[in-house]
Amino acid sequence: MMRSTFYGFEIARKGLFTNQLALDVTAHNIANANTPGYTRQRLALKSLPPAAGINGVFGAAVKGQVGAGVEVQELGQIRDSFLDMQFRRENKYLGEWTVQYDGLAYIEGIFSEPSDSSLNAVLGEFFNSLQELSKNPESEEVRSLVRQNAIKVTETLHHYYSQLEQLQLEQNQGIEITINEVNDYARQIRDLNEQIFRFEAGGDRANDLRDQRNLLVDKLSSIINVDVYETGGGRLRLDINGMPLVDHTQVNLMEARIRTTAANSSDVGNLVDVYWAGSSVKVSITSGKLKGYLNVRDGIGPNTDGRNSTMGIPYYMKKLNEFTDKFVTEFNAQHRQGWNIPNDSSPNPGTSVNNIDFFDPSKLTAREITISDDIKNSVYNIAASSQPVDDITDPDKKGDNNNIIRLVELRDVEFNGFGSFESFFRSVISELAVESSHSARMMETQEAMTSHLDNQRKSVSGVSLDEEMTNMIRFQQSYAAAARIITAIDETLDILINRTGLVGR
Amino acid sequence: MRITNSMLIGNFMRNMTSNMKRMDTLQMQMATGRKFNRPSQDPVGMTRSMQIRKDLSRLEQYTKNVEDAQAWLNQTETALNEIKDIIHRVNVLTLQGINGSNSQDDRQKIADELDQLKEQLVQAGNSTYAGRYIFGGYNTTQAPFEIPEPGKILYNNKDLADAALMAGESAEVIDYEVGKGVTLGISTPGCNVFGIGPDNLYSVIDEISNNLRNNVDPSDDLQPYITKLQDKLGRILSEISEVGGKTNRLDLIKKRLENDYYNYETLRSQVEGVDQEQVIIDFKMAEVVYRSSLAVGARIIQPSLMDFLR
Repeated sequence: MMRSTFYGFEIARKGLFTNQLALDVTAHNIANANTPGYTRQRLALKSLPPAAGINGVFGAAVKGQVGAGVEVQELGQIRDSFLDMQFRRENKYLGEWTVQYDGLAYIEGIFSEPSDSSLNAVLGEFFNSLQELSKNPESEEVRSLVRQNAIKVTETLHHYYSQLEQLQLEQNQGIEITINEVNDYARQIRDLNEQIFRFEAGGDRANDLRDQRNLLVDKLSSIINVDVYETGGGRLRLDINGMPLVDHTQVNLMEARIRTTAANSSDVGNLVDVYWAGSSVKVSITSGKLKGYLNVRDGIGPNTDGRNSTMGIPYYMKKLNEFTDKFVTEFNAQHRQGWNIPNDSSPNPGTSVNNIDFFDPSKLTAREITISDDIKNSVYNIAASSQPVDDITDPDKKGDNNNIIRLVELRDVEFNGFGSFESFFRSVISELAVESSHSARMMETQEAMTSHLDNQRKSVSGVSLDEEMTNMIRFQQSYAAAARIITAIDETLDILINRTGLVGR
Repeated sequence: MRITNSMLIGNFMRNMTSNMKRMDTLQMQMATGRKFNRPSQDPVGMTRSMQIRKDLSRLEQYTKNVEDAQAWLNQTETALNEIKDIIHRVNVLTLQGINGSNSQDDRQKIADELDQLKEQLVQAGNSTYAGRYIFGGYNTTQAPFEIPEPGKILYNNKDLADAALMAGESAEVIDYEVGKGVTLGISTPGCNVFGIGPDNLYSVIDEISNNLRNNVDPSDDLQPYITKLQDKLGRILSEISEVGGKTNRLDLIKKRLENDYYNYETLRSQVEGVDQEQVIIDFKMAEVVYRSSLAVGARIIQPSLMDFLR
């Protein structure tokens, strides 16, 4: 059987259309070269087999077959889902360490070491002013200086503590905001699932919708430990430790509920836990930004009762309180040994008394520590002397500085299981420094890791403008060539129709 | 590996950021002169730096204490020397008085001068340093020596002649802390300077003066007082040498403190301080890297195939 006269036109037309379409795809790629999450698209082409009966083997004038031109098989995207999985696995740790590092760096800022306004610095000033008092125990100015420096110590502790409380509240807000973010992403992914499923039911691939969805999953992966599965027929499922967050078109939201019992005694009020909405099951958060927030907000340090063991805000609150308790107790114990200078505000006005507390003994936390009312009322109640200073037979023994010297010596006392005041705080700072620098290193490692994986993804899926330009020229030329084919066939037909059989006309 | 535009740009941006971060760190080190500005930048250095800062702050305080102690002791030494001179003069006057050729008028004059010396002695005993009485023991606010009636002297409101009452007073010494756990008694109780009991310095001079005033021939009566004065002089000299010894000790302590301070300061600059030359060189290198990365980036990012197509 012969080929039909206009068969060539059909092949050329397919070439024209296909190359035109390919140019459109190129244009789409170029247009989206900078779109976040965009995956480059490619036309999958296929040559058409010869139409049955045409140029068939039987009775053919020539051996072999000529195909029927080109056909678009699929408009696909070039993406490696294994890289996606790797990227998301590392991205959750990046999220966690970034938040944790930010939190710890903030705590470092609160403690403001090394500087002249740190606790260690004001403590040094306090002890130095006691030294001055030991040289001038009768001087009202020096006594006032001691009181002023003591107030500075208490205010520094208040400041540290209230800043930590503030930071704990901020971390808590971070959790609440992030949960809203998760819910928002989950809803968007659910909607996209629906659209993609409907779109692809017709056999096409919803490339651009899939890009949007992948981008959302990427974002989600930095927030929480999420596992992604594609079940049959383009159904997507996102699990958090086995519990579905999104199951195709079903979505389980999270909610923040205010704790009924505080995890740590020092916690500020209204801290939240993360539950699955409408259930009593807590969301099991093992990594991601949310975990970072939880670590900083709840970390009490090493413990045996299953609380968060990161050294977070509660840990430093606990340490500050331990410090305050020891400082107030030990300082008072020695101060009570001494005698004041008689004054109108003395516990027993007009006579020298001992057993005066320097700091209020009922305020043993960093939040509350304050100098006692006696010291507030009169600096002469600072007990410098180791004997009553108003023995009637003697002139006042205001020059006795023995108790002050004992107080000064407290600075170097190594208390059992505590160390000296300054060494205790120094070790707290050192722990913070180690923890924080560890977080910084982990963050950097994860950054390197995710950027490497992201590069690999971009290498596979990203748009290369040079490549697209090359393709553009390729498709342009192919289009031109296909057009030329039509001209060529036209010419052959011209010969056949207009110039054949004219002899004798 | 396939290289795409977004990779190029992403890598370029990332590297540029890390270059700038390095320059920022170096800039910070240059500007503050410190290797680290937050504990996490160098946890070990931080701990050492805190320890050194504490040691430095207390060394400064000890140095101040030593200086104050020295000033106090200098004042004590001056007063003791004055008392020593008084004893010398009393000795000379007593020897003059023993001389039998004195007229009643001469003896009267000697007695008058002795009375003045007596007052001068009480004044020296009530010397102050920065408004504080240096010879009063723990009593620094009221003059320790008092003459309630002629011939009677009270120390801190108690009779200096009564040895039992003075027992507690003679032990009252003000301590200054001049080193970790090291205290130095810097005050000298006035009762020890004047001597306790009926033979205290004031009473001795008083009795000599009385003898001169009342006796026609006091030479025999005055003889024993020469020995008593020698005894007092010996006591003052030993107090002076003790004060001198303490001053010397403080000089030594001060030198050691200065030495320690220098060592700790050196240590601190080693731990905290930056090596300026090193930082400048590092910074220059970072700058070169930064500039060349910008230059290379500009060349890579700008051109594309489009520039070369018709």
